[in-house]
Order: sequence, then structure tokens, then C-alpha cells
Amino acid sequence: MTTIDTSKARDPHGDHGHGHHDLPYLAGKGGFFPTLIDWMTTVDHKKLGVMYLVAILTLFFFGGVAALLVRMELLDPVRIAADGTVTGQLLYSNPEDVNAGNVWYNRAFTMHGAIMVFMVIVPGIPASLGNFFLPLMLGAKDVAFPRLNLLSWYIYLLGSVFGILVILLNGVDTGWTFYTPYSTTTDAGHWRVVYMILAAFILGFSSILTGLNFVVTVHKLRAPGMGWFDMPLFVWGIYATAVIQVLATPVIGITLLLLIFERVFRVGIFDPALGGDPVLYQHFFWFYSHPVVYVMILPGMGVISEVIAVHSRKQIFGYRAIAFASLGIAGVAFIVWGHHMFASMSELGSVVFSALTFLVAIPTAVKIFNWIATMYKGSIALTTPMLYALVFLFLFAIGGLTGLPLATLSTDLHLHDSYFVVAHFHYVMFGGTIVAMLAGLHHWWPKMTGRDYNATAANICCLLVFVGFNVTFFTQFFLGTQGMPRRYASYPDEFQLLHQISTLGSWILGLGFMGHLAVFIWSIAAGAKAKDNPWGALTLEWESDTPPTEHNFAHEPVLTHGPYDYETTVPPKWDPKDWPLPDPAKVAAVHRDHH
Amino acid sequence: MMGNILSILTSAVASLGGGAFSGKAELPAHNLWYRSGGAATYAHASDWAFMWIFWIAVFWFVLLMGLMTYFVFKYRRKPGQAAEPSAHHNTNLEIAWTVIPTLIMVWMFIVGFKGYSDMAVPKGGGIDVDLTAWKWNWKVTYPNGAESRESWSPTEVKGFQATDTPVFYFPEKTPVRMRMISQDVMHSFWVPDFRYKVDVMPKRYTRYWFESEAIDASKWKRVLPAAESGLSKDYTCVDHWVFCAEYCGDQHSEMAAIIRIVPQEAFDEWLEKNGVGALPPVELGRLRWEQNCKACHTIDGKQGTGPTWKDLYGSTRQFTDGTSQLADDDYIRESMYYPARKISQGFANQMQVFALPEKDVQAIIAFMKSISANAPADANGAGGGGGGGGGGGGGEGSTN
Repeated sequence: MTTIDTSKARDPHGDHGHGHHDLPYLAGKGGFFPTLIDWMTTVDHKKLGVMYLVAILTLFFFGGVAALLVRMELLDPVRIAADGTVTGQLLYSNPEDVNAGNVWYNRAFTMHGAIMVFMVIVPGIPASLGNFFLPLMLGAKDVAFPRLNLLSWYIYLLGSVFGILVILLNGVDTGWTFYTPYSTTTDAGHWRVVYMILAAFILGFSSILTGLNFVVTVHKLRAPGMGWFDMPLFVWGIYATAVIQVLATPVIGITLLLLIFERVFRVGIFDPALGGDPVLYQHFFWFYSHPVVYVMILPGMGVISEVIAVHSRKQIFGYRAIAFASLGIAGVAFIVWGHHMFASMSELGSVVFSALTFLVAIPTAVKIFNWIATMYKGSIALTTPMLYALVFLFLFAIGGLTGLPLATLSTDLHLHDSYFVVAHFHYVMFGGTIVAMLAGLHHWWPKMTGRDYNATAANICCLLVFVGFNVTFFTQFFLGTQGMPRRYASYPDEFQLLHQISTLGSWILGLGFMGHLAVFIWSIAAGAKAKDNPWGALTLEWESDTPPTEHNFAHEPVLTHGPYDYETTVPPKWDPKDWPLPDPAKVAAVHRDHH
Repeated sequence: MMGNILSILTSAVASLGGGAFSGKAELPAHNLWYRSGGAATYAHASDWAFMWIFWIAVFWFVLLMGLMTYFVFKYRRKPGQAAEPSAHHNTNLEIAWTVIPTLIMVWMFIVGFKGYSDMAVPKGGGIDVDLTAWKWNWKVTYPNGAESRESWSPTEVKGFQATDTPVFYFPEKTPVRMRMISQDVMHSFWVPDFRYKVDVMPKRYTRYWFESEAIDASKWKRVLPAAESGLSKDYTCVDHWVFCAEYCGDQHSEMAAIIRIVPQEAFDEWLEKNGVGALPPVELGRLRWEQNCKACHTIDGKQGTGPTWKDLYGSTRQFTDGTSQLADDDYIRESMYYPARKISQGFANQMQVFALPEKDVQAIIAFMKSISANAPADANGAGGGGGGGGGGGGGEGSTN
């Protein structure tokens, strides 16, 4: 990482001639309604990031409640005793109708999956933290197309309104994958399945526009002196994600539209009764929905790269390897969709896709090695974001390694569509994406809100989430190998003990999240004022005010060091938290003397 | 509801303490990964591959987490002390940690491919059967026309009870090839003990095959009483769960079946006993009614989920859309193939498609005629087997 352009003053706050009228972005506009209107019409990427965050966390709450309902139903299998009494209907108890409990269970897991995938995990990190910090990290005033950004938020809102409408209409039972011909024939007298498909369709456009915006921003708005390999790795993660969003999301848009045509107008595309092909639907669906797995995880990997480097005060190990691994994953993502269909596609197809699938594991493994190597000889502080980064490594390693028997054909044909798969993708999606988002939130919270949070309380919640998650989902690996299929409202007695342990874990997990919510609310209400650079990070977002002003920087920042140049920028025996840093030229001199 | 949950948790805690398990059976000390050894020829290779992958994963996980924990402890932040400088990359190290996992994964792919070949390519000999799936049940049809039946008495599978579940009899150590088709949505035929599943699709055949291990090799073998099987004497058997593994709606989780592996001698006896070759049409129709229709259609005049069959044939049916029609042969056939087209008044649209072979349709029509006072005398009984069209013509003539 080269040091570029040291000719200008490197402290952006030194120039008070321009900056005095620039208020923090959170400043009110004099009264409730003017402020509300200001927020609703803002094109400020920071406000939009916060608005996305609030919307996403709200939907995360709904999706989480649905998940707790699913676990609740599985506490006890549904049984009919000899005298006709029905036991085990926890979700919806109707002694007259055994089926009623199943119907509610099916709706609960569908709503959980659809909300979590389309409304929480896919937009999660890019739309909230990405929107807020991508321009700041690049030293830009905003994203490339601020009004498009506002539009994509309203599109997201519209899609979510359809999603919530479906909840109010008692939900749908198609599963979040909408497999045909079930999805085109179920609940035939009602429009809510169409609303749910429409929700996913509309949300796709929000995703495309955000991705487009980020691609252009990264290409065109980097600060002077910032080359591609001077970008923080979070930006690389978001960039790789944005490329997939732009290329893959239109396919799901087309697919969902065809689904609506078939359902509403009875045009035969996927339903064999109308002359269609149900396997074609699976190909279309996974051609998007596999790449989108990397839309979910790549931004999380970017967050983890930042957090580990900053909290270890260490140059990231193998910067280029991590950056290229992101692009490599984004590329391979497009040619592995068939591994979702080993039980339904041709033998040759299965063999080819099995081989291709192993390819994804390699760049992923490389990243984990790099993160751990970064900690070597670091100065590691166990802050809340760092704890979450360690939790990420733990859970994501399990998620990645349990992907191996799913890529291996002979073992996948047993584990496919079993609880082993459920556990595996929760370790990747939750242990990966959600945990990374929590790491990022705790890492950037002081900058976003200008407030500190209670670190001890946050660490306790982190522990609850870690324990709760493992109790909930590690048991499910055993359920899967022992033969428990997915999406079952009831089960043979032999699985009950493991299900009960899993449900217990889900309550611990829920408690952890409630705790986090309380910590954040407390921070906003009564938190101490945060420092500009509490962790001593070297990336540009920390050079802005806390919280950042409306135009981010008083004047255009100039890059004087790489994002992780702790060794060349920070003098020995000097804490980078004591902002601003001394002149890099002097530091280099001190380093020379030191050795 | 809270009291319910509390009592469940209490029993869970009790069973964790080593007590009774759900009050039904002791929790057997078993390998957490697999309750039972694989019960088909190709299952052992699958288990072997899984356990190898598992231990390789454990090795890497312990290595990585060990290093991580060690670094966190050894390089924890000390006041006034910055991170020590070290290399930012190391080409040899990076090549090593790319190539070694790649080689391991090449090995995994090859192992998986070989195991899969054994699953995908069926062995010759043995028997071919048809498997039909629908919302929410399975049926196996044997070469001689015998069909699987639901078990009406409680059945033990691996120590746990199952009822109302179809039972598929198959001989031990014999290749069984299934041609599978669904009558409605996608299903997936999974036998956990065989470690293999294949999706079952509408309007397209897919295939599944297995060769079970010897009954004596299974720790789950048990005595099959003659009273339960209806055979001439007691045999030994092993039962295996069949689950639907592709989500298919309301009763997805009740779409289970039992594969019952019995000695060849027992299978031969069962097959002959349940074969239909020598049955007259009315008797075959009665059998098919027992197997397919009995749950909803009575023959004693009591209305069930669907209309009773007593005196149905030859009567005039009133439909929910206001139209009416004579219940003739074509009507019966249409009701089986397209049950949603005409719904009798007083009933809901609940019937699934029963696309039975033509011979079975004719037999059911013959059976319905035999229990209907409205059927014309000349077309009653055995005559129905000769041809549906002729019988139907007679019916129309007499009523209109």
C-alpha cells in the first residue's frame, strides 16, 4: 500500500473556513413534521442507510417471531390418542382439526423464510451499513445517484408493505422457494400467494438499483489517490455483491413474473398439468437464488475483514487474496446452482454441479485462513465487534465445513432436504451474515449515532446469541443425519429430545436479541458522546465528524495511507485512538530509528 | 398452552437425566450421527464418506479455532504496546493453503461420485415395481397387480409406533427397482436408513432402486407376528421409515410409509396372497375400494367425506354448480381422473386424483354396480368387467 499525496494538510477538520455551517446529519429541522418530511425526501446516503436499518430490523423482528413460532410447534409432535384427543398442536390448537395446526405451521415457516431472505438478509448489510459507509470509506460526499438511492428505498418499502399485507392476510404456505406446481395451485381461491410473489418481485428492483448505484460509486467516486487496491475490503465485498445483484436479480424477476402468469392466467410454464415443466422452475429459481447466497455473505465477509484488522491493529494478511477471493466467489456463484437439485436433475448434471460446487469452497477457505493469519502478532482487543468477529469465524467455519458433505454427491442424497441442510444454511446465513451485521453494527454504531453503548451489556448479549444459536442449530445436524426431513409440522417420537433442545436454544437466542435492542435504545437515550475514532481505525469513515456532517467531510479527503497501514502510519508506543495521527513522514522516520 | 409447554419441558429434563423417553421407550445409546447402520448396499459407502468428511472437518476446525484462540490470548492488547510488524503475505504459505484443501476436495468429489454411481445405476435381477405418490400418501404396485395397503394396526418402527401408514413388503438382499410418479405436486422419496432420496414428479417418471442388507445384520430386526402380516406364520422383519422430503402442503409431515424387509419366502407368500390376477372384477373392485377409496366413501349408505357408494351408480347426481348428471361409467371415470370438475351437492372439493389403470377403473365400476339398486339388472355384477362403454350405455337407457 503506497502513501499517496502528502502535500496537502491531512486533517480535514483543520479547515474551518467551509465547515462551520455543515450540521450533523442527525440534526432536526425545527419541529417534528419538517424533520419527518426532511427524512422522507432525503437523498443523503446516511439517512437512507439509517432508514434501511430501521426497516430491516423491524422486519427481522417479524421474521424472528415467525421462527420462534416454528420452534414452538416443534416442541411436541402432533399425536392423536386412542380416545381422539389431539396433543402437540402448540401453534394453533384445534382439537377438531388435526390439519389446522399443520396449516399454521406451514405459514409460519414460509413467512420466516420469505421475510428473512428477501427482506432482511439480502438487503441487510449492503442497504444499511453499505449505504451509510461505502461513500464515507471512499471519501465521497454521497453515492453516485442519490435520488435513485431514495427511489430504491421506497421500492423496498413497497415490497415490504406487500409482505406485511400477506402476514395480515394470515400468510401463505408455499415455502419461500415457491416450488411449482405446489405454489401455482395451492390456496387457489385467494390472492395472497400472488401478493407474496409480488413482494419478492418488487424487492428485486430495490436490490438491482442499489447494486447499480454501488458499482458506479466504487468506479467513479473514490477519493483522489485511492486506487482499486487502496480500497477497504468492506468496499470490495460490497462491490462484488453489487455485481451479482445487477446480473442475477433480473432472472428472479422474470421467473416470479412467469409464476404469476401461470397462477393467474393459467399459462402453462411450470405446471405439468398445463404442459409446463416443474424442474425448469427450479433451474430458473436457483440460477438467481444461489448467487444471491453470496449477495448475503460477501458484505458480511467485508465487515469481518474490517473488524478483524481494526481491532487487531494489524495490516490485513493477503489483502489481494481476499479481494480476488470476493470476485472469485462472485464469479463461481453463477455456475453452481444445480447443487440444490441433486435429487431432481439428471445424473450427469448432478456430477458436473458437484464438481463445480467444490470450487466455491476454495476462495471461502482462503478467506478464513487470511483472517486468522491477520491476528498473528496483532494487538487484539476483545471489544464487542471483535467478539462478534470471532463468533463469525467459529460459526462460519462450521457452516463452511458442513457444506462439504452436501457438495459430495453420495452423502448429499441422504442429507438433501433434511435438518442437516437447515442447520448448515443457518450456520452460513445467521452465523455468517447476521453475526457479521451485528459485528458491523457494534463497530460503526458510535459513528452512526454519535453515542457509545454499554460494552459489558453488549458482550453479555453476544454470549447469549452465541450459546443460543449453537444450542438451536447444532442439534439440527444430528436430526438431519438421523432422518428428520425439513418443513415437518410433526415427527416420529425418536426426534423429540433433539427438537426440544433446539427450541430451548431459540429462546436463549431471542433473549440475546432483546438484550441487544435494549442496549441500543439505552445508547441512543443516555449513551455517552462517542469519540471520532474510538477504535483507532485508519479507514476514511473515521475521519469524519461523529456523527458525520451532512456532506461527510469538510473538504475532499486525500488519501495519505492505506486502510490497514498500522505499521507505517502509527508510531510505536502510540495509540491510534489519540486522533489525529501524526505526520506520516515523521512516523516513517521514527520507524526507521526504531528498527 | 403454557401448562402444556411446562409439562413438555419437565419431561425433556427428566429424559435428559436418563429417565424414560417420552414415556414410550428408553433412549437407546446410539451414535449421535446415525441411529442405525445403513441398511442398503450403497448406504455403507455413504456413511463411510460422511464419517471421513466429518473427521477431516473436525481436524480443520480444531486447527483453525485453536490458532484463533491462541492468537487472541497471546497477542491480546497490552497498554502502550503496538502490534508487532510481520509479513503481509507469504506466497508459499498461501499456495499451500489453497492447494491442500483443493486436493482434499478432489478426493471428496471422487468418493462422492463413486458412491453416487452405485445409487444411480440399478443392479439387474430382483423385481420391478411402480410407486405412486399423491397428497399425502404413497402406493406401491407389484408386477402381479398386488398393491401396498395401509397398516391399520399399530406398527413398531425402530422402537416407535406408527399407524395408518402404508407398508411396502420387499424381500431381503434382492434388488428392487421403482418407477415413480406423482399424481399432483412434487414429492421426494427418502428412506433415511438407505441414505438415498429421489424426487417424485408429476407427469414424469423418476427411478429409485435399492438392495437391502440381510435381516440378520440389522439390530432393528423383530418378529413379525402372523396376526399382523396376515401370513401363515411368524417371520422376522426389519422396518424402515419412508419420508416425503419435498414440501407438499398440509399433511407433508404425515406422508410417511414403512418399507418392510422380509425373508424371500415371506415375500413370495405375501405377493401371492395380495395378487389380483385371479380375482373376478367385482372382487377386484372391492379390493381397490379398500385400498384407495374406503377412507372417504362408505358402501353402507352413511355419508362420509365423500358420497356413499351405496345406490350411487345409476342415480342422478346434483352438483354444486346447479347442473346434474346420471352417474354412469364415464361419470365414475371422470370423477377419478378429474375429481374437481363436478362436486356433488353437500360435499367439498376434497378428492385427489386417482389415475388408476383402466382395468382397475373398470373393476371399481363393476363393484359400484354390484352395490347399487339403481344399476340396470342386465349390466350388474360380472358383466361390468367386459367393457365400461357397454355397461354405461345400458345405464343411460334405463334412467332417461
